[in-house]
Amino acid sequence: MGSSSGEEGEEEWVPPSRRPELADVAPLPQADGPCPVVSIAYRGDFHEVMDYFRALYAAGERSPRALRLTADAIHLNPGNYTVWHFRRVVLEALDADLLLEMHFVDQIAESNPKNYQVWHHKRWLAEKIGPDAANSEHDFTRKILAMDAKNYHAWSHRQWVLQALGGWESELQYCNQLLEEDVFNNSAWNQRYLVVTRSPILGGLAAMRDSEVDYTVEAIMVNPQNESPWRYLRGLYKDDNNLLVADNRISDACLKVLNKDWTCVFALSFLLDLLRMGLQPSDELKGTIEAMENSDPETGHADIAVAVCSILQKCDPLRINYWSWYQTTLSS
Amino acid sequence: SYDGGFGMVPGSESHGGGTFCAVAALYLMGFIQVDLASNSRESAPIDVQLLLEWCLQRQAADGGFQGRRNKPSDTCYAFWIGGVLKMIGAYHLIDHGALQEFLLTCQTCYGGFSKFPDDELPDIYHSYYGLAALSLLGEEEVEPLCAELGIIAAAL
Repeated sequence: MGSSSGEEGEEEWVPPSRRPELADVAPLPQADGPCPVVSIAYRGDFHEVMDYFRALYAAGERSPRALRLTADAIHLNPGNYTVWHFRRVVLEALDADLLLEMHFVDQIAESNPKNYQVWHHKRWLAEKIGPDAANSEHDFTRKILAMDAKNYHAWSHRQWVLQALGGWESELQYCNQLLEEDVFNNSAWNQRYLVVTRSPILGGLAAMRDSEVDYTVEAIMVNPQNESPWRYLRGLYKDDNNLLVADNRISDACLKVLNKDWTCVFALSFLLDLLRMGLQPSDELKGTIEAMENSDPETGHADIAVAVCSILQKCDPLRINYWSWYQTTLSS
Repeated sequence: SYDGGFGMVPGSESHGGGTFCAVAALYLMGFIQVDLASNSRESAPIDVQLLLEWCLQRQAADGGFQGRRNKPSDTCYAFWIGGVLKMIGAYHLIDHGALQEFLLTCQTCYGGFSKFPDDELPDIYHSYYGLAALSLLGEEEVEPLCAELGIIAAAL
C-alpha cells in the first residue's frame, strides 16, 4: 500500500493517476534502454509516483503540486537525492515556509536517522532560517541522540549548528548529562572536547583545563577501564607535553589506579608516555612498579620505562607485538 | 582529532572510515613516508605515533576492530583500520590470529559476511570488506591488495 503524502489525517492514499490536479500530466516512464537486464520489479505505487515525478522534473515545473508529489516520492524512497534536489528548487521558487518544511523533514529524519539526504536537507534549511533555528535544531538532535547516543549524523549536525548558528550555553551541561547516562560514550567525550576548546563563552582550553582535569580524573577513578577519559586527559594537554608531565594530579592518578589494579593497561601506557616525556618517577612510583614486577618475576629492569613496557606485554597481550616493538625503541 | 584518529570534519569524533580516507589521501599525495617496520626517518604532516596508538587501540578483546572507541567490533573496520596500519608499515603490530578468528565468525551460512558476528544476514559491503581484510591478513587464495587504492596489487 502507498504511504500518505505527509499529512496528519488518516486519509486514504490516492495514486497520482487518480488525482484531479495531475490530470493533465503525461507520466514519463524510466528510460531503461532497449534491452533492460535484471530490471527492478518496482511496486505499483512506487512506479506510478516516479513516472509522474519524472514528468514534472523533466518539464521543470515549479508548483505546489510538484512540491506535494516530491513528498510522495520521498516517503517511498528518502534516499533519492534527485527528488530532494528538485524539492529544494521548488521550495525556493515558491518561497515556501521553511519552518513548515523543517517539520516535514524532521518527520522523515526520525524514522530515517542515518539517511544522508535528510540531514543535508536539514542543514540547507537551517542555514536559510539562520540563528533562529539553533534552538529547535539542538532540540531535534537531542531527541535523535536520546534514541542513539552515538549517531554520527546527529553529532555532525549538532556541531555544525553550534559553530554556524550558536547555542553553546548549555552544551557542556548536555555533555555532563550524557556522560552521567553512559560514561563510556566516546561521542560525548568528543563533544566535550569541542565545547571546551571552541565554545566562545568558556574562554578556551587554557582557561578550562584545570577543571577539566579534575572532572576527567574523577571519571577515571570511577571506571579506570574506560579508555575515553584517558585519551581525553591526554588531549587536554595536546601540544604541551611539559605541562602534562608537570601536572602532579596526572601521575598521581596513574599511581592510584595501579595501586588498586596493577594490570590496568591504560594507566600503564599513560605512565609510559609520561616517562617518555621526561617524568621523573617518585620513589612511590618506582616502588609500585617493582612490586608489579615481583608479581611476575623476571630479570629486573634498570630502566623503569622498559619495566613498564614488559609489564604491558603481559597485561595487554592483544598488543604484544606493539609493546615489544615499543620496547626496542626505548633503548635507542 | 585530539586522540590521533580522524573524524569526518574538524571537531568530529575519530572514525575508522574517516581515518582511512584521510591517511589514504595523504599517502596517495606522497605526504606520508613512514615505515614503522624499518628504522628509516619518517616524514609526515600528521602525528604518526598518536595515529598508530589510536589504530591499535581499535582492536577489541574479540579480535575485531571497532570504528570508534567503545563501540562494538564491525567486520569492515578490519579493512579501514588495517589499511591505515598497512600504509604506515605497522600492520605487523596487530594480533593477526585474533582478527582472523573474528572475521570468520562474521561469515554467515550463505557465504557472505555480516557486520557483526553471529548475525544471520550478510550484505555485499561487509562481504567485500571482510574479504579485503582477509587479503591484508595474507589469507591464502585471496589476492594481495593495494590498500590505498582499493584495488588488487596486480592491477597496478
